[in-house]
Amino acid sequence: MPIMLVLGAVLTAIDVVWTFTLAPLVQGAQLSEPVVIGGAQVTTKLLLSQKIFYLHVPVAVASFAVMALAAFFALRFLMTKDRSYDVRSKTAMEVTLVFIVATMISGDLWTRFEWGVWWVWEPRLTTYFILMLLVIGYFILRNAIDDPERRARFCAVFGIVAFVDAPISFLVTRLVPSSIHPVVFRTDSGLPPMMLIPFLLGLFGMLMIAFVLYCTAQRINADALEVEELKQQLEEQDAQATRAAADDALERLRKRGASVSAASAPAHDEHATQNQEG
Amino acid sequence: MDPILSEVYSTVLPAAPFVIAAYVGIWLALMVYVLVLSRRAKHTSDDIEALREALERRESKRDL
Repeated sequence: MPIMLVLGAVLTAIDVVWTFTLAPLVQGAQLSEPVVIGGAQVTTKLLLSQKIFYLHVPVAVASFAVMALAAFFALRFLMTKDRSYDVRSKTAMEVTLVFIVATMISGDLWTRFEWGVWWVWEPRLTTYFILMLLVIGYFILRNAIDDPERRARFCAVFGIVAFVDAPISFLVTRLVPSSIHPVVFRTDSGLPPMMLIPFLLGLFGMLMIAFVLYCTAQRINADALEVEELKQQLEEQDAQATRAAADDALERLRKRGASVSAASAPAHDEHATQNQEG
Repeated sequence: MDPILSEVYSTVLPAAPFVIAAYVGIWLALMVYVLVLSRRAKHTSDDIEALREALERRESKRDL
């Protein structure tokens, strides 16, 4: 696991360094007249904001991948009723939410600079926003149900239904012609190798980081669940011991009461006989 | 600066704070989660310690 974390961090670091040193700037609007920079003719403005996508897209893809994992574990829970799958699904949802927040932050900053507004109800943004609300709703649902069995079942179903929005959000820019969100994942992306390589390095690096985060969180959540179960067992043992002590005390009292009444019975009989004689 | 070069880079400098903020935001979100996980791990280990002590106390009581 540490090897994967180091590898993921190294790949992402290479992505960032490559992005700002070797990857060329994307061209924007036409210049009033061409200019030669470093021996190359430049006819358009250069866009720095596009550099955001080298990390924004890998983070977004990681959010979809981890959510797929959450839906898979939710399905496994419904099939097996094994609670460990519920914990795994919840953990994957947690990591999904973190990556969704990171995607939202970076995407919003790009939107603010390029489109001049913080938010646009554009198909990709809208479906991704719905995805975020669904993941938040998943945790609200988790906290609203006390019974562990019902909670796990309801959340598994909700998690699977929520995941339906992930492929919709991923594909919506291709399916809706009016979508103005840039499309990066396509066979004819036209990315030159100097841009494609850092992007792919970032993608694999971020997927590795997401997986390591999931595994670490899963270990901690499984331990926390075990602690909760142990606490419950101890409390039950305490309650049983208290009940047993109370039963013992009651039994002793009953025996004592019986012996007292047995001892007082001959005296009572004697007293009755004296009364009759009198 | 050459007016044409100034035009070429006119979108570069204004975008810089947004690009930096985006990169910082992504790492910040991940770091906050790592922090939450480390606190949760510490809390869990404290709980395990407390449970172990409770069990030991219970066993010593039973021995008496």
